[in-house]
Amino acid sequence: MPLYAANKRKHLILALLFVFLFWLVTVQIKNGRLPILERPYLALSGFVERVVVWPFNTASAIGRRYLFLAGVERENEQLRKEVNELRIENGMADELLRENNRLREALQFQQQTPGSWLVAQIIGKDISPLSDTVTINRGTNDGIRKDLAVISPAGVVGRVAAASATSAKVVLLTDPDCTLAVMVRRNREEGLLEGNFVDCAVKYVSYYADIQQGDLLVTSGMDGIFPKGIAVATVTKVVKREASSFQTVRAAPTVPLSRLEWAMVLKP
Amino acid sequence: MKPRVYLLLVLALVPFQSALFRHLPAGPDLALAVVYAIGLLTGPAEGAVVGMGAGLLQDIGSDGLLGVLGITRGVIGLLAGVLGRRVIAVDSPALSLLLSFCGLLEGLVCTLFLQTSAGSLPLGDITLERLLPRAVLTGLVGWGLLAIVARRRVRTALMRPSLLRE
Repeated sequence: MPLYAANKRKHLILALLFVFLFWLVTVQIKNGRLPILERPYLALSGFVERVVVWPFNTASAIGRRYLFLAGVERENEQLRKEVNELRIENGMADELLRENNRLREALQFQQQTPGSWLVAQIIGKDISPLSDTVTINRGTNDGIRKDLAVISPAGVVGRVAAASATSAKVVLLTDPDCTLAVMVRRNREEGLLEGNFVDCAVKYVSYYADIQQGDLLVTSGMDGIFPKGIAVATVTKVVKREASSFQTVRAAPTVPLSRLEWAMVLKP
Repeated sequence: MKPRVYLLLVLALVPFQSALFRHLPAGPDLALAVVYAIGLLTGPAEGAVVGMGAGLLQDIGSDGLLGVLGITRGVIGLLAGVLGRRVIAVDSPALSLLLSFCGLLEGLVCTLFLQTSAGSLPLGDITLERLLPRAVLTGLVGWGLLAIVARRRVRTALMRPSLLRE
Protein backbone atom coordinates (compact mmCIF):
# COMPACT_ATOMS: atom_id res chain seq x y z
CA MET A 1 0.00 0.00 0.00
CA PRO A 2 2.72 2.60 0.87
CA LEU A 3 4.50 1.74 -2.41
CA TYR A 4 1.25 2.33 -4.29
CA ALA A 5 0.79 5.69 -2.53
CA ALA A 6 4.36 6.74 -3.32
CA ASN A 7 3.92 5.80 -6.98
CA LYS A 8 0.63 7.67 -7.12
CA ARG A 9 2.30 10.79 -5.68
CA LYS A 10 5.16 10.45 -8.15
CA HIS A 11 2.76 10.22 -11.08
CA LEU A 12 0.76 13.18 -9.83
CA ILE A 13 3.90 15.34 -9.55
CA LEU A 14 4.94 14.27 -13.05
CA ALA A 15 1.52 15.10 -14.47
CA LEU A 16 1.61 18.51 -12.73
CA LEU A 17 5.06 19.21 -14.21
CA PHE A 18 3.76 18.45 -17.71
CA VAL A 19 0.69 20.64 -17.11
CA PHE A 20 2.99 23.45 -15.93
CA LEU A 21 5.10 23.19 -19.11
CA PHE A 22 1.99 23.23 -21.31
CA TRP A 23 0.75 26.30 -19.44
CA LEU A 24 4.17 27.98 -19.88
CA VAL A 25 4.08 27.39 -23.65
CA THR A 26 0.47 28.63 -23.92
CA VAL A 27 1.29 31.84 -22.04
CA GLN A 28 4.18 32.52 -24.42
CA ILE A 29 2.13 31.88 -27.54
CA LYS A 30 -0.03 34.81 -26.42
CA ASN A 31 2.64 37.13 -25.01
CA GLY A 32 5.93 36.11 -26.63
CA ARG A 33 8.98 34.39 -25.17
CA LEU A 34 9.56 34.92 -21.45
CA PRO A 35 13.15 35.92 -20.63
CA ILE A 36 13.29 33.64 -17.55
CA LEU A 37 16.81 32.81 -16.27
CA GLU A 38 18.25 33.89 -19.63
CA ARG A 39 21.15 35.93 -18.27
CA PRO A 40 22.30 33.51 -15.54
CA TYR A 41 22.14 30.64 -18.02
CA LEU A 42 24.03 32.64 -20.62
CA ALA A 43 26.74 33.44 -18.06
CA LEU A 44 27.03 29.77 -17.05
CA SER A 45 26.97 28.41 -20.59
CA GLY A 46 29.42 31.11 -21.71
CA PHE A 47 31.82 29.97 -18.98
CA VAL A 48 31.56 26.29 -19.92
CA GLU A 49 31.89 27.11 -23.62
CA ARG A 50 35.00 29.19 -22.98
CA VAL A 51 36.51 26.28 -21.04
CA VAL A 52 35.74 23.89 -23.92
CA VAL A 53 36.96 26.29 -26.61
CA TRP A 54 40.12 27.27 -24.70
CA PRO A 55 42.21 24.15 -25.55
CA PHE A 56 41.31 24.50 -29.24
CA ASN A 57 42.27 28.19 -29.21
CA THR A 58 45.49 27.51 -27.33
CA ALA A 59 46.50 24.65 -29.61
CA SER A 60 45.74 26.72 -32.67
CA ALA A 61 47.62 29.73 -31.24
CA ILE A 62 50.67 27.58 -30.42
CA GLY A 63 50.57 26.11 -33.90
CA ARG A 64 50.41 29.50 -35.49
CA ARG A 65 52.82 31.38 -33.22
CA TYR A 66 55.59 28.89 -32.61
CA LEU A 67 55.51 26.37 -35.40
CA PHE A 68 55.41 29.08 -38.03
CA LEU A 69 57.21 32.39 -38.13
CA ALA A 70 55.90 34.41 -35.24
CA GLY A 71 56.44 37.87 -36.70
CA VAL A 72 55.00 37.10 -40.11
CA GLU A 73 51.98 35.43 -38.59
CA ARG A 74 51.26 38.43 -36.39
CA GLU A 75 51.64 40.80 -39.31
CA ASN A 76 49.44 38.58 -41.43
CA GLU A 77 46.78 38.62 -38.73
CA GLN A 78 46.92 42.40 -38.54
CA LEU A 79 46.70 42.71 -42.32
CA ARG A 80 43.83 40.26 -42.50
CA LYS A 81 41.94 42.30 -39.94
CA GLU A 82 42.61 45.48 -41.91
CA VAL A 83 41.50 43.83 -45.16
CA ASN A 84 38.27 42.71 -43.53
CA GLU A 85 37.61 46.20 -42.22
CA LEU A 86 38.45 47.78 -45.56
CA ARG A 87 36.22 45.29 -47.37
CA ILE A 88 33.27 46.33 -45.27
CA GLU A 89 34.09 50.02 -45.67
CA ASN A 90 34.52 49.53 -49.41
CA GLY A 91 31.16 47.76 -49.69
CA MET A 92 29.47 50.53 -47.77
CA ALA A 93 31.25 53.25 -49.76
CA ASP A 94 30.22 51.59 -53.00
CA GLU A 95 26.66 51.43 -51.81
CA LEU A 96 26.73 55.06 -50.72
CA LEU A 97 28.13 56.08 -54.09
CA ARG A 98 25.35 54.28 -55.96
CA GLU A 99 22.80 55.83 -53.69
CA ASN A 100 24.36 59.24 -53.99
CA ASN A 101 24.21 59.08 -57.78
CA ARG A 102 20.61 57.96 -57.72
CA LEU A 103 19.39 60.45 -55.16
CA ARG A 104 21.66 63.42 -55.84
CA GLU A 105 18.76 65.75 -56.22
CA ALA A 106 16.82 64.53 -53.23
CA LEU A 107 16.65 66.82 -50.27
CA GLN A 108 17.24 65.87 -46.64
CA PHE A 109 19.39 62.89 -47.56
CA GLN A 110 20.68 61.38 -44.42
CA GLN A 111 24.20 60.09 -44.77
CA GLN A 112 24.76 56.74 -43.13
CA THR A 113 27.94 56.56 -41.11
CA PRO A 114 28.86 53.21 -39.61
CA GLY A 115 29.65 53.25 -35.90
CA SER A 116 32.44 51.29 -34.29
CA TRP A 117 32.55 47.52 -34.30
CA LEU A 118 33.80 44.88 -31.97
CA VAL A 119 35.33 41.58 -33.06
CA ALA A 120 33.88 38.55 -31.22
CA GLN A 121 34.61 34.84 -31.33
CA ILE A 122 31.85 32.27 -31.80
CA ILE A 123 32.19 30.02 -28.76
CA GLY A 124 29.01 27.98 -29.00
CA LYS A 125 26.18 26.94 -31.28
CA ASP A 126 22.76 26.01 -30.00
CA ILE A 127 21.75 22.45 -30.85
CA SER A 128 18.00 22.80 -30.77
CA PRO A 129 15.39 22.02 -33.41
CA LEU A 130 13.58 25.22 -32.44
CA SER A 131 16.15 27.91 -33.14
CA ASP A 132 19.43 28.84 -34.80
CA THR A 133 21.59 30.78 -32.37
CA VAL A 134 25.27 31.10 -31.52
CA THR A 135 27.08 32.38 -28.43
CA ILE A 136 29.83 35.01 -28.72
CA ASN A 137 32.54 35.80 -26.19
CA ARG A 138 31.51 39.44 -25.72
CA GLY A 139 28.84 40.75 -23.37
CA THR A 140 27.50 43.82 -21.62
CA ASN A 141 30.99 44.51 -20.20
CA ASP A 142 32.07 45.27 -23.79
CA GLY A 143 29.00 47.38 -24.54
CA ILE A 144 26.97 44.61 -26.18
CA ARG A 145 23.21 44.86 -25.76
CA LYS A 146 20.07 43.40 -27.27
CA ASP A 147 19.26 44.08 -30.95
CA LEU A 148 22.76 45.10 -32.06
CA ALA A 149 23.68 44.05 -35.60
CA VAL A 150 26.23 41.25 -36.04
CA ILE A 151 28.07 41.08 -39.36
CA SER A 152 31.14 39.53 -40.97
CA PRO A 153 33.20 40.70 -43.97
CA ALA A 154 30.95 38.57 -46.21
CA GLY A 155 27.69 40.08 -44.94
CA VAL A 156 25.02 39.93 -42.24
CA VAL A 157 25.28 37.21 -39.56
CA GLY A 158 22.32 38.05 -37.31
CA ARG A 159 21.38 40.17 -34.33
CA VAL A 160 22.04 40.03 -30.59
CA ALA A 161 19.09 38.43 -28.77
CA ALA A 162 20.37 38.56 -25.18
CA ALA A 163 23.57 39.49 -23.40
CA SER A 164 25.16 38.62 -20.08
CA ALA A 165 28.28 40.32 -18.67
CA THR A 166 30.76 38.25 -20.65
CA SER A 167 28.83 36.54 -23.44
CA ALA A 168 25.89 37.14 -25.73
CA LYS A 169 23.40 35.11 -27.72
CA VAL A 170 23.14 35.92 -31.42
CA VAL A 171 20.10 34.89 -33.47
CA LEU A 172 21.39 33.83 -36.88
CA LEU A 173 19.97 34.97 -40.19
CA THR A 174 18.50 31.51 -40.78
CA ASP A 175 16.39 31.58 -37.60
CA PRO A 176 12.66 32.28 -38.21
CA ASP A 177 12.87 34.91 -35.46
CA CYS A 178 15.44 36.93 -37.42
CA THR A 179 13.65 39.31 -39.75
CA LEU A 180 15.27 42.17 -41.60
CA ALA A 181 14.39 44.67 -44.28
CA VAL A 182 16.28 44.04 -47.53
CA MET A 183 16.39 45.34 -51.08
CA VAL A 184 17.73 44.07 -54.35
CA ARG A 185 21.03 45.80 -55.00
CA ARG A 186 20.41 45.95 -58.76
CA ASN A 187 17.07 47.78 -58.76
CA ARG A 188 16.15 48.62 -55.11
CA GLU A 189 13.08 46.35 -55.00
CA GLU A 190 12.28 45.90 -51.32
CA GLY A 191 11.19 42.93 -49.23
CA LEU A 192 11.32 41.39 -45.79
CA LEU A 193 13.85 38.61 -45.27
CA GLU A 194 13.05 35.85 -42.79
CA GLY A 195 15.02 32.74 -41.88
CA ASN A 196 13.59 29.24 -42.33
CA PHE A 197 16.41 27.11 -40.78
CA VAL A 198 17.74 25.99 -44.17
CA ASP A 199 18.16 29.37 -45.88
CA CYS A 200 15.97 32.48 -46.04
CA ALA A 201 12.67 33.51 -47.59
CA VAL A 202 11.94 37.00 -48.86
CA LYS A 203 8.38 37.98 -48.06
CA TYR A 204 6.06 40.63 -49.44
CA VAL A 205 7.76 40.89 -52.83
CA SER A 206 5.12 42.12 -55.27
CA TYR A 207 4.12 39.81 -58.13
CA TYR A 208 5.27 42.47 -60.60
CA ALA A 209 8.63 43.18 -58.91
CA ASP A 210 11.71 42.47 -61.03
CA ILE A 211 13.68 39.96 -59.00
CA GLN A 212 15.85 37.27 -60.54
CA GLN A 213 17.93 34.30 -59.51
CA GLY A 214 21.45 35.47 -58.59
CA ASP A 215 20.39 38.93 -57.43
CA LEU A 216 22.25 40.19 -54.38
CA LEU A 217 20.09 41.32 -51.49
CA VAL A 218 21.46 44.06 -49.24
CA THR A 219 20.10 45.63 -46.07
CA SER A 220 17.76 48.55 -46.72
CA GLY A 221 18.26 50.10 -43.29
CA MET A 222 14.48 50.25 -42.72
CA ASP A 223 14.55 47.95 -39.69
CA GLY A 224 16.63 50.34 -37.60
CA ILE A 225 19.12 47.61 -36.64
CA PHE A 226 21.31 47.09 -39.70
CA PRO A 227 22.94 49.97 -41.57
CA LYS A 228 22.07 50.26 -45.23
CA GLY A 229 24.01 48.43 -47.92
CA ILE A 230 25.43 45.34 -46.18
CA ALA A 231 25.25 42.13 -48.23
CA VAL A 232 22.68 39.67 -46.83
CA ALA A 233 21.84 36.88 -49.26
CA THR A 234 21.80 35.81 -52.90
CA VAL A 235 18.48 34.92 -54.54
CA THR A 236 18.38 31.21 -55.36
CA LYS A 237 14.78 30.62 -56.39
CA VAL A 238 11.88 32.77 -57.59
CA VAL A 239 8.40 31.35 -58.01
CA LYS A 240 5.42 33.32 -59.37
CA ARG A 241 1.91 32.00 -58.84
CA GLU A 242 -1.12 33.47 -60.54
CA ALA A 243 -3.23 33.02 -57.43
CA SER A 244 -0.94 35.10 -55.20
CA SER A 245 -0.12 38.80 -55.35
CA PHE A 246 3.35 38.08 -53.98
CA GLN A 247 6.28 36.10 -55.37
CA THR A 248 7.89 33.26 -53.42
CA VAL A 249 11.58 34.08 -53.16
CA ARG A 250 14.28 31.93 -51.53
CA ALA A 251 17.77 33.26 -50.83
CA ALA A 252 21.02 31.79 -49.48
CA PRO A 253 22.98 33.84 -46.92
CA THR A 254 26.26 35.27 -48.24
CA VAL A 255 27.95 34.30 -44.97
CA PRO A 256 28.77 30.59 -44.44
CA LEU A 257 27.01 30.55 -41.06
CA SER A 258 27.96 27.01 -40.04
CA ARG A 259 31.68 27.63 -40.54
CA LEU A 260 31.75 31.04 -38.91
CA GLU A 261 34.49 31.53 -36.31
CA TRP A 262 34.54 35.28 -35.84
CA ALA A 263 31.96 38.01 -36.25
CA MET A 264 31.74 41.75 -35.72
CA VAL A 265 29.14 43.45 -33.55
CA LEU A 266 28.19 46.90 -34.82
CA LYS A 267 27.94 49.41 -32.01
CA PRO A 268 25.94 52.58 -32.64
CA MET B 1 17.87 8.43 -8.79
CA LYS B 2 20.89 10.56 -8.10
CA PRO B 3 19.51 14.04 -8.68
CA ARG B 4 22.81 15.83 -8.08
CA VAL B 5 24.64 13.69 -10.65
CA TYR B 6 21.90 14.30 -13.21
CA LEU B 7 21.69 18.03 -12.49
CA LEU B 8 25.45 18.48 -12.93
CA LEU B 9 25.45 16.28 -16.03
CA VAL B 10 22.67 18.21 -17.71
CA LEU B 11 24.00 21.64 -16.63
CA ALA B 12 27.42 20.89 -18.08
CA LEU B 13 26.32 18.89 -21.09
CA VAL B 14 24.14 21.44 -22.91
CA PRO B 15 26.84 24.17 -23.14
CA PHE B 16 29.53 21.51 -23.66
CA GLN B 17 27.85 20.13 -26.77
CA SER B 18 27.13 23.61 -28.11
CA ALA B 19 30.85 24.51 -27.84
CA LEU B 20 32.12 21.19 -29.14
CA PHE B 21 29.91 21.01 -32.23
CA ARG B 22 29.84 24.73 -32.99
CA HIS B 23 31.27 24.29 -36.48
CA LEU B 24 28.99 21.44 -37.55
CA PRO B 25 25.87 22.36 -39.55
CA ALA B 26 23.92 19.66 -37.69
CA GLY B 27 25.76 18.31 -34.67
CA PRO B 28 24.53 15.37 -32.58
CA ASP B 29 22.26 16.08 -29.64
CA LEU B 30 24.17 14.72 -26.64
CA ALA B 31 21.54 15.95 -24.19
CA LEU B 32 18.84 13.91 -25.93
CA ALA B 33 21.06 10.83 -25.93
CA VAL B 34 21.74 11.25 -22.20
CA VAL B 35 18.03 11.72 -21.40
CA TYR B 36 17.26 8.56 -23.36
CA ALA B 37 20.03 6.59 -21.61
CA ILE B 38 18.95 7.75 -18.15
CA GLY B 39 15.34 6.89 -18.95
CA LEU B 40 16.34 3.39 -20.09
CA LEU B 41 18.43 2.80 -16.98
CA THR B 42 16.25 4.25 -14.28
CA GLY B 43 12.55 4.40 -15.08
CA PRO B 44 9.72 6.49 -16.55
CA ALA B 45 9.48 9.08 -13.75
CA GLU B 46 13.23 9.69 -13.54
CA GLY B 47 13.57 9.76 -17.32
CA ALA B 48 10.72 12.25 -17.64
CA VAL B 49 12.08 14.58 -14.95
CA VAL B 50 15.61 14.58 -16.41
CA GLY B 51 14.13 15.07 -19.89
CA MET B 52 12.06 18.02 -18.75
CA GLY B 53 15.06 19.58 -16.98
CA ALA B 54 17.41 19.14 -19.95
CA GLY B 55 14.78 20.34 -22.41
CA LEU B 56 13.94 23.39 -20.34
CA LEU B 57 17.63 24.24 -20.10
CA GLN B 58 17.99 23.98 -23.87
CA ASP B 59 14.90 26.14 -24.25
CA ILE B 60 16.48 28.82 -22.05
CA GLY B 61 19.68 28.66 -24.10
CA SER B 62 17.90 28.82 -27.44
CA ASP B 63 15.61 31.49 -28.82
CA GLY B 64 12.47 29.35 -28.98
CA LEU B 65 9.50 29.28 -26.62
CA LEU B 66 10.32 28.02 -23.11
CA GLY B 67 8.90 24.61 -22.36
CA VAL B 68 8.55 23.11 -25.86
CA LEU B 69 11.71 21.01 -25.62
CA GLY B 70 10.90 20.46 -21.95
CA ILE B 71 7.70 18.71 -23.00
CA THR B 72 9.16 16.74 -25.92
CA ARG B 73 12.23 15.58 -23.96
CA GLY B 74 10.05 14.79 -20.95
CA VAL B 75 7.94 12.52 -23.15
CA ILE B 76 11.06 10.90 -24.67
CA GLY B 77 12.50 10.30 -21.17
CA LEU B 78 9.17 8.84 -20.05
CA LEU B 79 8.93 6.50 -23.04
CA ALA B 80 12.57 5.46 -22.63
CA GLY B 81 11.80 4.65 -19.00
CA VAL B 82 8.82 2.50 -19.96
CA LEU B 83 10.94 0.78 -22.60
CA GLY B 84 13.81 0.25 -20.14
CA ARG B 85 11.60 -1.99 -18.00
CA ARG B 86 11.27 -4.39 -20.94
CA VAL B 87 14.82 -4.35 -22.26
CA ILE B 88 17.62 -6.73 -21.31
CA ALA B 89 20.60 -5.36 -23.27
CA VAL B 90 20.71 -1.55 -23.24
CA ASP B 91 23.59 -1.46 -25.76
CA SER B 92 21.53 -3.07 -28.49
CA PRO B 93 21.76 -1.23 -31.88
CA ALA B 94 17.95 -1.34 -32.13
CA LEU B 95 17.74 1.06 -29.18
CA SER B 96 20.08 3.50 -30.97
CA LEU B 97 17.85 3.32 -34.03
CA LEU B 98 14.91 4.13 -31.83
CA LEU B 99 16.83 7.09 -30.40
CA SER B 100 17.42 8.38 -33.96
CA PHE B 101 13.73 8.00 -34.65
CA CYS B 102 12.85 9.89 -31.44
CA GLY B 103 15.23 12.70 -32.44
CA LEU B 104 13.72 12.94 -35.91
CA LEU B 105 10.17 12.87 -34.59
CA GLU B 106 10.96 15.53 -32.00
CA GLY B 107 12.45 17.75 -34.71
CA LEU B 108 9.37 17.32 -36.90
CA VAL B 109 7.00 18.08 -34.03
CA CYS B 110 8.99 21.22 -33.15
CA THR B 111 9.04 22.38 -36.79
CA LEU B 112 5.30 21.82 -37.16
CA PHE B 113 4.76 23.69 -33.91
CA LEU B 114 6.92 26.58 -35.17
CA GLN B 115 4.82 26.81 -38.32
CA THR B 116 1.95 28.07 -36.22
CA SER B 117 3.91 31.23 -35.40
CA ALA B 118 6.58 31.53 -38.11
CA GLY B 119 4.36 30.67 -41.06
CA SER B 120 5.16 28.13 -43.73
CA LEU B 121 8.57 26.45 -43.39
CA PRO B 122 10.18 24.13 -45.98
CA LEU B 123 9.58 20.93 -44.03
CA GLY B 124 11.20 18.64 -46.64
CA ASP B 125 14.42 20.67 -46.85
CA ILE B 126 14.59 21.07 -43.07
CA THR B 127 14.17 17.31 -42.61
CA LEU B 128 16.81 16.39 -45.18
CA GLU B 129 19.42 19.03 -44.38
CA ARG B 130 18.98 19.48 -40.66
CA LEU B 131 16.83 17.00 -38.80
CA LEU B 132 17.86 13.73 -40.47
CA PRO B 133 21.68 14.22 -40.22
CA ARG B 134 21.27 15.32 -36.60
CA ALA B 135 19.05 12.33 -35.78
CA VAL B 136 21.53 9.89 -37.38
CA LEU B 137 24.48 11.43 -35.53
CA THR B 138 22.53 11.43 -32.26
CA GLY B 139 21.74 7.75 -32.78
CA LEU B 140 25.43 6.96 -33.34
CA VAL B 141 26.51 8.96 -30.29
CA GLY B 142 23.71 7.30 -28.34
CA TRP B 143 24.99 3.87 -29.36
CA GLY B 144 28.43 4.71 -27.94
CA LEU B 145 26.90 6.20 -24.83
CA LEU B 146 24.69 3.18 -24.19
CA ALA B 147 27.70 0.87 -24.65
CA ILE B 148 29.51 2.84 -21.91
CA VAL B 149 26.43 2.98 -19.71
CA ALA B 150 25.94 -0.78 -20.04
CA ARG B 151 29.12 -1.31 -18.01
CA ARG B 152 28.38 -2.11 -14.41
CA ARG B 153 30.59 0.60 -12.85
CA VAL B 154 28.98 3.40 -14.81
CA ARG B 155 25.58 1.98 -14.05
CA THR B 156 26.40 2.03 -10.33
CA ALA B 157 27.44 5.66 -10.52
CA LEU B 158 24.22 6.66 -12.25
CA MET B 159 21.60 4.55 -10.50
CA ARG B 160 20.40 4.64 -6.94
CA PRO B 161 21.00 1.46 -4.90
CA SER B 162 17.32 0.40 -4.74
CA LEU B 163 17.09 0.37 -8.54
CA LEU B 164 20.30 -1.62 -8.83
CA ARG B 165 18.94 -4.28 -6.47
CA GLU B 166 15.82 -4.54 -8.64
